[in-house]
Amino acid sequence: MHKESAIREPLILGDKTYHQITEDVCAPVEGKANKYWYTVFSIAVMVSLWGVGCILYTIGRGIGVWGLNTTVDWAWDITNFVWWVGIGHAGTLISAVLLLFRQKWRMAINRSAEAMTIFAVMMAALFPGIHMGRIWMAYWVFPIPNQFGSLWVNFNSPLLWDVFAISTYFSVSLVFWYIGLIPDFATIRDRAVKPVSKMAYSILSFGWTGNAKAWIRFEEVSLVLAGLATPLVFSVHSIVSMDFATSVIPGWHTTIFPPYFVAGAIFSGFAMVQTLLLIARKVLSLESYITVKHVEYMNIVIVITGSMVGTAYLSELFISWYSGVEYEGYAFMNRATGPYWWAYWSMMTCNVITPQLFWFKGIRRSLIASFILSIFVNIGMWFERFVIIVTSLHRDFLPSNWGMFHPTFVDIGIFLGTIGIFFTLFLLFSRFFPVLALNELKSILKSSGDNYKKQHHNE
Amino acid sequence: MSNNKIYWRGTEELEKDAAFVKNSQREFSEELPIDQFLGKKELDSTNTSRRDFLKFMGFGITAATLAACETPVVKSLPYVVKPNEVMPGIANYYASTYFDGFDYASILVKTREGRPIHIEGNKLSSVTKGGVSARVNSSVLSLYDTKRYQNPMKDGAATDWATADSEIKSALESARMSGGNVRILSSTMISPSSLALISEMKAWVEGGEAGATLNHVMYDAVSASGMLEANKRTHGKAVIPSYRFDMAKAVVSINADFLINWINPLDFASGYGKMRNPETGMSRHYQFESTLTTTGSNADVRGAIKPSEQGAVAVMLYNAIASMIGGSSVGSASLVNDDNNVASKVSEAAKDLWANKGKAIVVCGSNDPNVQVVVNGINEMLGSYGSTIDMNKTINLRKGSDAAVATLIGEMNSGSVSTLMVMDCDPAYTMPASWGFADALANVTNRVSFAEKPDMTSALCNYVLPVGHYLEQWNDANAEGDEVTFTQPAINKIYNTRQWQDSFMAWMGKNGSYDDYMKSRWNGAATMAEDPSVIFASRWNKYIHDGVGSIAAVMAAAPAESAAAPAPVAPADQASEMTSSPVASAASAIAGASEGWEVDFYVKTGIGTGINGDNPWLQELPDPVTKVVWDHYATMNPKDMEAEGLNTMMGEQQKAGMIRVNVGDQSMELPVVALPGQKRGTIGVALGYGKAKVTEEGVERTIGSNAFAVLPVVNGYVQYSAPCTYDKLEMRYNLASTQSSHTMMGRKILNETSLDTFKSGGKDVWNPVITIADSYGKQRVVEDLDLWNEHAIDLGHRWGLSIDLNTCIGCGACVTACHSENNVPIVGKDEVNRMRTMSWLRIDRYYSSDADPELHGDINQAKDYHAMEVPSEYPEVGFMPVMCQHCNHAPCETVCPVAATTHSDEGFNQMAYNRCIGTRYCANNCPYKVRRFNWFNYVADPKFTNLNPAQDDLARMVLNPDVVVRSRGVMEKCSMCVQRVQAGKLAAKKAGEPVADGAIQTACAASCPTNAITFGDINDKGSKVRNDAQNDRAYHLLEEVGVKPNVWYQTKVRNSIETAAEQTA
Repeated sequence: MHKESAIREPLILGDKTYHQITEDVCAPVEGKANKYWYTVFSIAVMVSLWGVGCILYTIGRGIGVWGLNTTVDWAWDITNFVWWVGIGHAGTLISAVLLLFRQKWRMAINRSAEAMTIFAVMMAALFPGIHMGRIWMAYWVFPIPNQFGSLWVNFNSPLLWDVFAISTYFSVSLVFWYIGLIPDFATIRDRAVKPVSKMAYSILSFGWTGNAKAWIRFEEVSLVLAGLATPLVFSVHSIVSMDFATSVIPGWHTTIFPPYFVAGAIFSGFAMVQTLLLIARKVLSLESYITVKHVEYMNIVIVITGSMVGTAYLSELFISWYSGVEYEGYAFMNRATGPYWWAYWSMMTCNVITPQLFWFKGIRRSLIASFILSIFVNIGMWFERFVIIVTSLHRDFLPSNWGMFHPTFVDIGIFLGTIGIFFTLFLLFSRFFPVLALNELKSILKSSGDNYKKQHHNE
Repeated sequence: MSNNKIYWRGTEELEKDAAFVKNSQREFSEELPIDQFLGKKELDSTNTSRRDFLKFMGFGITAATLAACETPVVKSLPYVVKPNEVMPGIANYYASTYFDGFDYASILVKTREGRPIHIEGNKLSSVTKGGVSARVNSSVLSLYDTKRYQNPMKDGAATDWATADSEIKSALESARMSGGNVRILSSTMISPSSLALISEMKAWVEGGEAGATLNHVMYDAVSASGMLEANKRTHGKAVIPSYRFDMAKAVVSINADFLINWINPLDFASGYGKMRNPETGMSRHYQFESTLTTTGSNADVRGAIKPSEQGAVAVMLYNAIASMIGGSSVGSASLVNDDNNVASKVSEAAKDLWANKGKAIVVCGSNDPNVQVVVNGINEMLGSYGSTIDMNKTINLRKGSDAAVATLIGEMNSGSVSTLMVMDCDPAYTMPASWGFADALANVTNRVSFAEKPDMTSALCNYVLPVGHYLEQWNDANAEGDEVTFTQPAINKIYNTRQWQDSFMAWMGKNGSYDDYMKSRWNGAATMAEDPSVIFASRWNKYIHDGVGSIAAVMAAAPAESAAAPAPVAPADQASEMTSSPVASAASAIAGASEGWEVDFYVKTGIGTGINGDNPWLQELPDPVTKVVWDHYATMNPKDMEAEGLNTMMGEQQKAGMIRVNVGDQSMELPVVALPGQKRGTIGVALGYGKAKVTEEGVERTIGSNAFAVLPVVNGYVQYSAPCTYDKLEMRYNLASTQSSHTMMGRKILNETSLDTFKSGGKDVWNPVITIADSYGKQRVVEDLDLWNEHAIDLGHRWGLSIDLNTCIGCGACVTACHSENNVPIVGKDEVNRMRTMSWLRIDRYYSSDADPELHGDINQAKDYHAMEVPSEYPEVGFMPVMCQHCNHAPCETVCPVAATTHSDEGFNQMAYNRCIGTRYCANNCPYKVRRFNWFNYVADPKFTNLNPAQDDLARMVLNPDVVVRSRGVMEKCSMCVQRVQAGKLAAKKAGEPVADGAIQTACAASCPTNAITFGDINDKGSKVRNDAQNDRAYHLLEEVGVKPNVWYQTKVRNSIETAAEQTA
C-alpha cells in the first residue's frame, strides 16, 4: 500500500472510517434540508425567475431592451458569457488535469467543482443564444443539412468555433462528471429506503454493481476522459478568446489572448470553487474533507494564475506602446484613464493586487480571507471581460462613433438571474447528488487520512 | 366472471331476418332521404362516397389551415383598367416643383404604382441644377400625413365645398357691393399664373360698385425686406439679384448661411461647389457670423462676431477696400471684444476681395437695410455688379415686405378689413409677437385659411379650405431670372382638398380648373413668343415633361401682374446708379456693437421655418454642426458654459443644463448645447420650433419654444438677433445627439491640407501612401499586404463611390434621401440618445483641437489624449459622409457564423437579411461602425407607433417597394442602392448597351447639391469614379486597417489664411 510522508498534511481529518465517509457524504442527500438551505434556495429561485422573466421580455420585444448600441454591440451579454465560461474551467481542470498529475487533494473538491463547471457552462451557453437578434433561428449556427439551398455555416467565423468548442466541452464535462457519479449514485441507491429514491438512484447509477471489473473499466474511462478533457480545458477558452483576437478592433486584436484567457479562466474558476466550497464545507459539515490544506492548495493556484494574468495585463500595456500603433496605444491608454477607468482599476485591483496577499501563508490559510479574496477575484474577472469588451468597442477607430454603454434593468436582471439559476442548480445538486466523490475519497483514506497517518507514524 | 348474455337489437336479429342481416353492416339500416334535403339530381350521378367526402374535407381543412399560417391578408387590388403609363414594378418620374415660401427646388417625383415615394432634383433646371435639400426631399412624407386637413372646415367643424363656396362667395359679393376691404396674406408668391389669378380677383372685387379694395400682401417668415430696401436705395429696384457663386474666387459672407438657408441655397451651393476644386482653382471663403452655421463650417476663414457687429464688419470691410483704392471711408466701426482676430481677418478678406475684383462676392444675411447698403457699396467697389451679381436677373424667392405687413395689421386692427385670406403661410406662428397678428385677426369678420394642415393661423380662422399637398397640385413658378418650373400632381387627391386657385376660380365664376387656366395663359403667351408652327399641345407636354420652361413669353402675356412681380428692367449702367452717399449715410446710421449678451436667431438645416416641423425624417436628421436631433436648444460657446457651470457634454444620456433666455419681456426656456465656434457672449437659438397646434384635446405644442415670437422689430424691420439676458435653471434636460466625441484625436480620418501645401508639396506630403513594416522590417504599402486571397475585382462591374470632402457642405440631403430610398426606420429621440440611430449614411463632423499634435507639427510628443478631446474655442470644422465602405476584405464578412453578409461579384458587401440571426459580431468588427441593428420591431413595436411612418396605414405608402422593410433582430447597412444598380443594369441590358457612366446613381449621389458624391463602375475605364479614385487626393478611410474599401475620399483642401499670409509675404 502506498504510504505518504508524515509531514504531508492529511487530506481527510478526524477519525474517519470508510463507513463514516459514506455517512458524511450521504447525510445531505438522505436527511432533511435545514432552514438555511430553504432560505437560500427560495432567494435563488426568485432571482432565477426574475432573470427568466427578463430573458422572456428580451425575446419578446427585441435586443433593444438591453443597453447595447450601434457602437457597443456586445456588453454584458458577452461579458457574462466569457465570465461563466471562465468559471466553468476549474471543474474540468481539477478533475482531469489534476487526475493526470495524480494530485490527490482534488478528490475532495472535484465533484462539486465539476458540477459547478456544468452549471456555469450552462449559464454561459445561455448568452450566445439570447444575445441573438433572432434566437428562433439559432439552430442555423449548426452545420445541419438544410433545405435553404446551398447555405452552410461560415467556418471562418470564430463564433462558429465557439459553438463547437463550447458544445464539445460541455458534453465531455457532463459525461466525465456523470461517469464519476455512477459509483456514488450506486452507494446512495444501496442505502435508500424510500421506493421513489431507490428507483431514481438505481436508474441514475446505471446498474452499477461495484465489482472489480466495473472498477477497472471505471478507472480506464476516467483516464481516457481525462485525456480528452485536458486539451479541452485549454482549447475552449483559447477559442473564446479568438472571438476577440481575430477581430480588427484595437484592444481585441491581440495575439496574447489565448494563453491569457486560459490563465484567467483557471483563475476565475478556482475563485468560484473557493467561494462555493467555503460555504458548502460549513453548511454541509464537510470540514473534515475540505480542509484548510485544500483551501491553501487552491489559493496557490489562484495566486499563480493571478500572477500570470497580471503579467498578461502588463504585457498588453507594454506591447500597445511598443507596437507604435496609434489605435492600439489609445485603446489601452483609454482603458486606464478614459471614462471607464473605474472598471479598469477595479479589474487591476481585484485580479492583480489583492490575490498577491496569498503569498502570505497566514492569509492563504485563513478561511475568511480566502472567502473575501475569492469574491474579489470573481468581481475582478467579470470586470476584466467588461473592460476587454466594452472599453475596446466604445472607442475604436473613428471618434465620431465613440460612445458609452449604459446597462438597463434587463441587462442587470439577466445577469443576476443567471447567478440565481446557477445557485438554484447548485443547491439542488447539494441536496440530491453526492457532493464529494465518496468512493474515490475512500481510496486515499488509508494513505492521507488523519487517523491512518497518525497510526502509521506511531508504528 | 364472463358474461354470456347476448342482447338483440330486435326480434329481427334473433330470427336472423334476411333483410336485417343484409343491412346490419350499414351505418343506417334504412335509406336516408338524402334526395329530399339535397334534392339535386347530380348528386345521384356522382360516385363520391362518404369516405371520399371525408378525404376531401380533410384535405380542404388542412390546406386551408396551412394557407392561413402562411401569408397575412394583404390589402391590394388589381387595376380593372390599367393606365397605360403605370407598369407595376416600374417607377415613373414626374417633373415638378417644390416651393413652400422658403425653399425652392425643381424636382423629379418618383412614383411607384401611382404613389410618390421619393424626390430627386431636376437636372434640367438651371436654377437648382439637380440639387435638393433635406427639407425638399423629405416633403414627400408629408403627403401621407394623416394630420392634414381632410375636409373644408367652418368654425372648427367639417363642412362641404358647396357650403363654404356659397358663404365665402356671398361674403366677397357683399364686400364688392358695400365697399369692403379684402386682403390676401401669403408668403412670397412666385407663380406667374397664381399672381395673374390674384390680379383677376383684385379686378373682380374692385370692379364692384362701392370702391371695394383687394390687396395682396406678401411676407416672408425669414424676412429679406431689409435687403430689398437696400437694393431699392442703391439700385432703385426692390429686388434680390442673382449671385454667381460659380464665378466667385473670393466670397465674404456676413452672417449669410447661403449654402443651406439664405435666399436660394441650392443655386448658391451648386455654384460654390464648382469653385472648390483645388486643381482647377479654388475660391477663398470668409464667413463672419455668431453661431457656427453649416456655411460657416465650410469657410476657409471664419471670424466669430457678435450679431450687433455685422454692421461694423461690413463698414470695416468697406473702409479697408476703400483705403486700398483711395476712396473715402464711411462711418466708424469697432469690435467690442475681438477674441477671434476678426479685425485682421477682415483686412485679409479686403485684400483677397480686391485681388479678385470682378470675381468676388460679398453677401450679408442682415435684415437691416443700412448694413445691406454698405454691403452693396462693397460689391460696387469690387465690380461685382454685372459680373458675379446680376441686378437684372432677379431671384424672386423673397418679396415680402415688413412694412406692408405692418400696414396690413394696422388695417386689421382698425376693423376695416372684412375678409382676410391667408395662404402658404402661418403668420400667427412666424410673425413677431410684437406685431400682434393674432389680436388683429380677431377684428376681421371673414377669416379664410388655405392651410394644408392645422397651424396656428388656421386655428383662428372661421373658414379653413384645405389646399392639399403640393404633390397633388398644379402650379408654375418663376424662382430666378427667366426660368419657369412647373408643379404637376403626382397623385390623385388623398383627401377632400382643393388648391386655392381652384377656389378663386369657382368664386369668380370662371370655368374649368386651375390647370386649364394655367395652360390657356401659356398657350396665349407661347403663340406670341415662340414658333407658332409647333402646336401648343406638344410644347406644353414638353414643359410638363421637363418641368422647365421660359418666363419671357408668359410675362409678356400678363401685363396685369407687373405690379406684383418685378418686370425686367432694361440693363442700365448699374455702376452709375451707385453713389457713395447712400453708403455713407447708411454706415453712419448703423447702430454700434453692444456690450452685453446677445441672442442670434438662425434657421436650422432640418427644420427651416418650421413648415415641416412634424416631419419625422427632418426631426431625426442630425443638425449638420451640433448633431442634435429632435430638439430645440440654445447654443453657447463651451468656454462660456464652463464658466456658468453648465454641462458641455452632449448626448448619450448626459443631461443638458437649461437656461431661460430673456429677450425684452419675453423668454424661452431651452436646454444648452456646447457649440465651439459660437461667439463668446452670444447664444444661438433656432427658428422653426414651438409651433402650437389647436386640436380637440386643446393646445398641443411641438418641441421647443417659438423663437419667431420673440424677434424684435427695429425701424420696421424684423431683426434676427437681440440683446438678451439669461438665467441658469436648475432643470436638466435629455438631449439626443448622434455624435458625442468631436475631434479626430490626431488621426488621419478626414485628411485635410491647406491649398498652399497642396500646391507646393506633392502627394507624399499631404496624402502619403500608408506603409507598415512587414515581418522583416521592410516598409510595405498596406494595400499590397494580404491575409486573404483577393476577390476577382477586375472582372465585370465593380461599383464604387468617391466622396469629395472639399465640396461636401454637410447639408444632410443625402441622409434624408437615403432614408427615403431605403426605408430606413425612424427611431426617435430616446433611441438616438441610446446611440441607436439607424441612418445608413451619416455625416461625421469634426472640430479641430488646440491640443492636436498635427497642428503643432510634433507628432512624436506624448499625446495628451484628454486635451485632444476638447475642441478649440473657435475651431475649424470638417464634414465627412460615412456609409458602408464595401470593403473588398470586409472584416464583417469573416466573422458572421452563418455567412449572412458576403461579398458580391460586383464589389458590394451585401447583407442577406433573411439569413441574419443577429449576433452583431459584424457590427463590432466594422472599423467604420456603419452597421445598424434592428433593436426592435420598428414596424410594430408600440414605442415607435407615433414615429415610424411604416406603422401608419397611409404613411406606409411612402415606403419604397424595391427595398425590403427589415424585421427585428437583423443587421442592416448601406447597400449602395443595389436596387437602383439592378434596375440600371436591366435597363442597359434591354437597350443592348453597356451601362453608361452616370446612368446609375445612388440616392445620396443623386441628391447632393454640390455633386460631392460620385457613384460608378471602377472597372469602367472612362468613368468619373475611376478617375476620382486614381486622383492624387484620393484615399481610403482607415487605409492602414487593410480592409480595401470600394469607397474613396478626396482630401479636403482648405484655402486657409496662413496660405494667404505666406503668399503675400
